[in-house]
Amino acid sequence: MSNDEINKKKNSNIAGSDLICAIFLIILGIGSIISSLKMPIYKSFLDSPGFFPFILGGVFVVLGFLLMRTALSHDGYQRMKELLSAKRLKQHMKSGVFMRVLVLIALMMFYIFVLLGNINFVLATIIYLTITFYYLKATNVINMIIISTGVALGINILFTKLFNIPMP
Amino acid sequence: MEAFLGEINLFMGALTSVSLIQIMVIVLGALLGIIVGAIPGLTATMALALLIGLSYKMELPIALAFLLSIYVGAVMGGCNSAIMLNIPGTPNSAATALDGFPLAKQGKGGLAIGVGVISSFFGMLISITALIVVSPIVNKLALQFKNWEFFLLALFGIMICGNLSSGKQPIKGWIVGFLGFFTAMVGLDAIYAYPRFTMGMLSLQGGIGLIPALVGVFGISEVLSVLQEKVPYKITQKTGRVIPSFDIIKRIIPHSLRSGLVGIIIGAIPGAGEDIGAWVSYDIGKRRSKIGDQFGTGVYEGLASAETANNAVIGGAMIPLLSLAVPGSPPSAMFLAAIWLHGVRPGPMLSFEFPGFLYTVAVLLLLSSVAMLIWGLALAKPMVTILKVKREILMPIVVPLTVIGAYANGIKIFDIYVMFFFGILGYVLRKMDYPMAPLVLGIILGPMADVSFRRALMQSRGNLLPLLNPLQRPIAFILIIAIILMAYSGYKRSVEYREMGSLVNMNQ
Repeated sequence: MSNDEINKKKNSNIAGSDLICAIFLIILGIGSIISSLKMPIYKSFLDSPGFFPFILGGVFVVLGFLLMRTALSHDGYQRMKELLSAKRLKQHMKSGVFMRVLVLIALMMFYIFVLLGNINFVLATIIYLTITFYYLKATNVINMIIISTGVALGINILFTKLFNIPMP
Repeated sequence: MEAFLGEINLFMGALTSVSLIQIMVIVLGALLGIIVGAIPGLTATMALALLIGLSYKMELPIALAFLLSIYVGAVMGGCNSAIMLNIPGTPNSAATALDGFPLAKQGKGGLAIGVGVISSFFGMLISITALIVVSPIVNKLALQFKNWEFFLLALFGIMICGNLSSGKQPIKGWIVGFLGFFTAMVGLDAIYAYPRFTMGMLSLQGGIGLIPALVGVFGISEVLSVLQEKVPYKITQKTGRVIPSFDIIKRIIPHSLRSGLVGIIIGAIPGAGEDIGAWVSYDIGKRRSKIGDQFGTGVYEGLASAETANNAVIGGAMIPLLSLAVPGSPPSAMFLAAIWLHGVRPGPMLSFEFPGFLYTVAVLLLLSSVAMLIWGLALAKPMVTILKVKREILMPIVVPLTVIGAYANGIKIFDIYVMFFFGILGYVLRKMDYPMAPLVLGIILGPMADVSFRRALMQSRGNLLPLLNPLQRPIAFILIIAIILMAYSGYKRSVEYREMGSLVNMNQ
């Protein structure tokens, strides 16, 4: 495939997500305008808390329509339908990159929302790093545990002892 | 001339007041910066984002030395992997790889790194000189800025940054820039303390923390971007000799001078950044040089054009940052956020509130450059070993560091959640070709734009006519013209892109 063809393919794929983005932006803009109009007016609307968000809302709506127009010219509607089709979603679920990112995000969420704050930072970090290394097949299991423990203890000592910064 | 001599005196004064601890911190910071910058996937902004946590409890002079030396080291460090692996350690070094890697393939990798390090040093020297000379002038100009000018400057920053950083579709740069503005609206309003977009959450009343947001955008999203695919890499080339001959240095000097100036100009443009500086300079070098047709085949001049410019951007970026509180690049945005935490408010009043601050920054940048030069040349060979460490090991380690970076300032778990949210948002936006620089700039400039705009409108009772009179408000008038030009050129490019799409559809 030539560079031109790759670029065209990428542009048309992006067009689908651009259209989704444009719709989201218009909704955000309208939401911002409505919320800003509900905000109190003290001296005049020009210096009220809602004034700038009101303007921003308008900007989002305009930019949303401009993006939508560009996306549609790149066959965005068709691409968006493809992007949201059951077949494409299944393809996505099966693709290596998508799954990899999904698992990495899930591991981060487990670390941030479940482990941190509930168990000791060092222990939480050792668990997170070991599991992530294991998933990424970064090295052998012994090394994984050694590196995870070393890093967690190192960070803890550096921040708490040397710089007096408490750990989460 | 007298003014210039006065500035030299102030600079020398700042130089003599540097403490031994600061020098030691600079030596360590430059080393850390080079290592982080050299590792593919860890950018200069990320280096600052990760290590910012360490600076919270430092005293201001130490924190400044630490952050600036990391910044200088990390921007240069990227050239190691660009040359030896053909994978830029940071986006700033992407142009470096064009000539650096062919040189490495010829067995001149060491020399290429040597030229890269020396060019970066030249870039720093040129940009520090510009910082000292130009900043006081910009500062005088900045003193004339009132509410309208500050609002227009923020708007101009978003427009130009969006234009420069988003390739074919400037509209995408503007969208993320205004999303940055919107992010800054969350929390208590600065004039009436009315809670905006907080959804009733108490944690959001203080607003979205700048540092957690930046750490997320440049930390978590970078980790995901790097780890999403397995990109195996190995070094097969020998490093060879590192120190270039006098003849090579003589050849690169004219290119370095030109690239240094280009880097400073690009650096002074809000949010543009080191990568744009390097590309623009490389492109100009290619067109202006007698051997321009050989650029890309492995010539030292091409390498020097890119490497000088990306480091020269640092000094350039400091000019609007110190004078107007507008960062010239994403790493300088991190630096701005860090010094805000230490109570330093850059802007027109900086020279009154912190006299000599400019010269302290210039001196620390100079010392950091010297440390970078020494470490860069000394580490050229050992760096090959560091580059062999797998990204699958390094990138997960970044995550706990981002957690601390977000948490350490406010000691709030909520900040970690904010960081994570912005990390995911940044990753999704990157996947859809949205640039990150305008988002960062928007978050930083949002509060200034909001308050200045409302105050300006109140003062003028909603009358916009004074803005159109160049005699009454010359700076505002120039900014308006610049914004209109930016909007027009960006819109034109977007239309061209749209027409290209229509043509493709017609042909199908």
